[in-house]
Amino acid sequence: MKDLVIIGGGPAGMGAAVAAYEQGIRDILILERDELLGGILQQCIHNGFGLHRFGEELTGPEYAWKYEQLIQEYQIPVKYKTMVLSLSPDREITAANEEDGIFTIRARAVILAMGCRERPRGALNIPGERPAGIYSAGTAQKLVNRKGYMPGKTVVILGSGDIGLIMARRMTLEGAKVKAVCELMPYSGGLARNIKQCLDDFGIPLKLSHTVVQIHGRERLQGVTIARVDADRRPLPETREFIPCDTLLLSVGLIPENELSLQAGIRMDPVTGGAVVDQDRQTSIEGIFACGNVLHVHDLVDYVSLEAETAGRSAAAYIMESREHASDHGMLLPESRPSPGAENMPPAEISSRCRIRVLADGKIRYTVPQFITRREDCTLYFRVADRYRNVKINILDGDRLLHSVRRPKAVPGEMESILLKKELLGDFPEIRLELEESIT
Amino acid sequence: MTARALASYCLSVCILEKGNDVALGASRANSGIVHAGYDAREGTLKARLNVRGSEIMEPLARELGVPYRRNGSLVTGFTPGDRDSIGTLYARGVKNGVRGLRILDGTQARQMEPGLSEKVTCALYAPSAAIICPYELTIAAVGNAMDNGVELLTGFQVTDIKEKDGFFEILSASGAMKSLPDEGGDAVGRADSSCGRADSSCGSTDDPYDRTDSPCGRADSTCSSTDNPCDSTDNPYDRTNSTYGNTDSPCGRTDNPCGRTNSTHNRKENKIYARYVVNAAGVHADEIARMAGDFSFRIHPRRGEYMLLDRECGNLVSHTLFRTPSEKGKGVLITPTVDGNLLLGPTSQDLEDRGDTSVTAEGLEWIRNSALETLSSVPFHKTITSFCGLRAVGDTGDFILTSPRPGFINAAGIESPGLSAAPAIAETVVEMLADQGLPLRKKEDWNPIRRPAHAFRSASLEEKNRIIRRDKTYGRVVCRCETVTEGEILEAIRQNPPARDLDSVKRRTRAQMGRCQGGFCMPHIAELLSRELDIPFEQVTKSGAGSEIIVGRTKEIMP
Amino acid sequence: MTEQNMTCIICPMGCPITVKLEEETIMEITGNTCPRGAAYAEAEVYHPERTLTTTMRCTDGQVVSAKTDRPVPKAALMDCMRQINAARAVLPVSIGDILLRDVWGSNVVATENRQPL
Repeated sequence: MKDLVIIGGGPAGMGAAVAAYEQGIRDILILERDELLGGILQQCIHNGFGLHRFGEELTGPEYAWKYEQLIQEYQIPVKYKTMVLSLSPDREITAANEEDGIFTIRARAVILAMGCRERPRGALNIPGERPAGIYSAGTAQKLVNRKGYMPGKTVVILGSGDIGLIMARRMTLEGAKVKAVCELMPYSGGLARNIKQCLDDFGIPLKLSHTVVQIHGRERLQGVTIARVDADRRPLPETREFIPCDTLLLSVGLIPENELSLQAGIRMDPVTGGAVVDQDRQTSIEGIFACGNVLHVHDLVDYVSLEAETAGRSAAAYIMESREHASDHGMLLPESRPSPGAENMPPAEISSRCRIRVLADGKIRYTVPQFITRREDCTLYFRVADRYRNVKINILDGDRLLHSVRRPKAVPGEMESILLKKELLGDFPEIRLELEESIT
Repeated sequence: MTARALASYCLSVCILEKGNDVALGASRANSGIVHAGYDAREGTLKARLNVRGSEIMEPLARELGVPYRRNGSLVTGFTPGDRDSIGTLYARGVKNGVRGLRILDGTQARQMEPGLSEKVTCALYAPSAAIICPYELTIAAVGNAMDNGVELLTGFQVTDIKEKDGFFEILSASGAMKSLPDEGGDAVGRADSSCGRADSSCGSTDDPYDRTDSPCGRADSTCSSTDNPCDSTDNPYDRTNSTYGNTDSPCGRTDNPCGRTNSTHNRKENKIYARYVVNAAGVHADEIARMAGDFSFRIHPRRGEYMLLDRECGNLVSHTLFRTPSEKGKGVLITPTVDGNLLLGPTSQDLEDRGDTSVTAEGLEWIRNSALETLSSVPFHKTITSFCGLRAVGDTGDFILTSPRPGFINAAGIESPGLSAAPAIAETVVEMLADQGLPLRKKEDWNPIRRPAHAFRSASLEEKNRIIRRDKTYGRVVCRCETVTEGEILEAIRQNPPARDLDSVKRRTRAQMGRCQGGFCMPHIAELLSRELDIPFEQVTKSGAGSEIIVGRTKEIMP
Repeated sequence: MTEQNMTCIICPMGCPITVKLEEETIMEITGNTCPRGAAYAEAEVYHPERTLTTTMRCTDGQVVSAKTDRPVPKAALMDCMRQINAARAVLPVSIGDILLRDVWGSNVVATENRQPL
């Protein structure tokens, strides 16, 4: 039995491990599928990380190194090249690696930090053959930045997510010609500064409301046909345009990698693709926490670290509490803390306990956390569904306005947050987040 | 499949394959259904061989280590006209010898398959229908054939066939032209250039029976072709083929199944001699037949597009669901796959281009709409890929199992139910060869059993740990979506028939076939291929020459 | 009076900044939410600069991630790449090690720790 097992040694897993250690937990194990820590940061060699968290601008590997050093200093054990195969609701983990074979570990607490994966081409159903030369942007990033290989010389990028934008610049710097970045939506999903410094700086056209409608080439990609789309995102045949290229990179969305969570029976949020959690990032299964991109896709690693630290601290508190109960009552794992998905919540014993469901109005797509189970200050993270200017974010209990903040703009590509003071958390079952478009 | 059947005899058999791997034609992309056998009209080859094939498929799959599941099928009907058609199918099935057929009403059908649309009013239930992975079956059959001494020549695109001193001389592509300059310009040669890209796979058998090194003395050569269930034979009796002939003891199991590289693949052959040729060249079978002077049939490709949904959706249906065939066509089929995915398709569109496996927007739209008639809901957002196969449609309405001249056998026009019939087609071809004088003497050391590269995944926990202790590469999971270990990938590269590109690894192990479609593991698998095949990373391909995955190294592109 | 619109790239907020110019002289900078934004806008008008992040080939064939330790002229980015591409790093390297000196006034430093194969 381990106190804490963390699945994934990327920024989320490392951040959670460090935070739990700093709360006094010593019996920690990180399971990492790669041969090094850092996860996707290791291939994100561009800068722009760390301004929030460390007050300096870092590249991905440098950001990862900040945490790796702490892991080393705290001597937190890591099993590398270890793949977790299954997770049970009573926190039994089955994993495999070369040295231990297939083994199981039980843990008082588990933190899920598996990250996310890219949406592949198959999900898009682009007509045409299936030649070589079509890669998700992250795969190309790994080939170029970690392995030193060039996937192609003439490139079209579908999707203007940040990885796609970053790869447009990266391929250009390495001598490839990036002919266009096509974005299905009328706006980019990436950060404004990446459009500036990755596309504009290099004269790469961003074609909004455009998509790839045909793949050409049998062995290796020969080109793509792109077309403008109408308001319902249907391609307009008269706007078809052939672009010769040997490579198509896809940056069409990230999907939290939650196979283990599903297997364990954790309740999921269909919008985020991640678990439903409370302010502690505890999932519907007691003692299992989640943080980072496995919970919801973040645009900045700094926020992943913040969330991971929350999860790490909460797991630590949970472990200590369960240890106490174990020594008090000779029980291993008391069912003492409320968890967000539990069907039959025991009545709150202590006044700080509550169970408030956080709802989003649609213009706000989702919030994390989705539940508040303790009356204390809580930051709600959320994403909006469209681009808005001069909006008010209202928090309501039924029709009663609890709190409201103004924002000059809100866009889908950028996660927003709002602080909810504990005084506002009354005795009600749910609150609603609403986006109000001001008339200005 | 014929090559595998022939491998049990003291013969010298060689499979000639145009592509970089076997099973690249119709076997790569079809519905994977072992049909019960009520579809084809009684008295046809299709009917007889389907029912027979369906009977012997299960034990065959077991020998070859290929997952097979008898899940039963339902032909769903919506209208009174459909009800009549179902009656016809039932009667036909009974005549064809299909067992266990039953006609159900809509309620009974929905009890059996709760997801069925309320509009379904009747159904034909066939308990003997089954599912199997078509390329896995083909790969396993070729692998087992090779384990038993059959040779595989990939990249061997047949461009001409001549008869010479009682043997067929089978020539390949440009290499053959170069070495035989004065034979290249005749009428056949020109015909070839038009079907140059032809011959996806024709197997061939060779029989060095008059060579002293043949322990089986009197054996005769056969040939087998791969594409569907097709085969061809050749005989490397000519000394130009000595490298190839000499390495191959026709009855011995010369190929070390675990050998690091298969010697067959590193040799450049452009000429093969065979006593018997089986033409199983799929959509190119008529082109091959014409090379041998047989102009009796034509093949055209028929496009069949499919959508494959995530394994989360594999439980949506348990049976294979067909629509009642009508003048509008056969309609979409919906089936679980043996790997647990949900497969929808195929479309049906006649084409000219025998290499056009592109997916169309219209085709996918049709699949979506048709599927929603059969089922009340389908989670299309869980689609992980779409693909397209070409059916080799003959102009005779039936399978073409003919011998236009002694020693040359066509196994052509093997459209649906070709997969179901394949084991029976192989039996028939072997009989035809025997009738033509091919002596069939059983090999004493013939081994019908093959262990697939992915055997690890179905092993017990204890066994897995035993395997990992022996070979730790089985402890390293490379493909996270499908849980495929490095050991399995290495085995796929090393065993028969060896995987030599990314897609070949995928077909053997499922690595890159899951929801991320290789996004994470592709570079790792490419590195394993590079190391195992001893080629630079730049030469690793997706699916053979021309499909290299990278164009060079960073720092070297910029002027 | 002319106007230049730009997106600030200093932090992920990406503020839209407007710079008003009289001839070549900046009269007003608006839209920034911090002083660094103003400094960026001024630099962007007079001498645009970027920090270059890339990789360098190592003598053993691997690549190591690297960056310029201060911004270089935007117009010189491709020339910096040429110089870096011609260089070879000798492993092992640690974060911060100088791999190449004086590339447009900046040093190229390693951004990861890497061991030889």
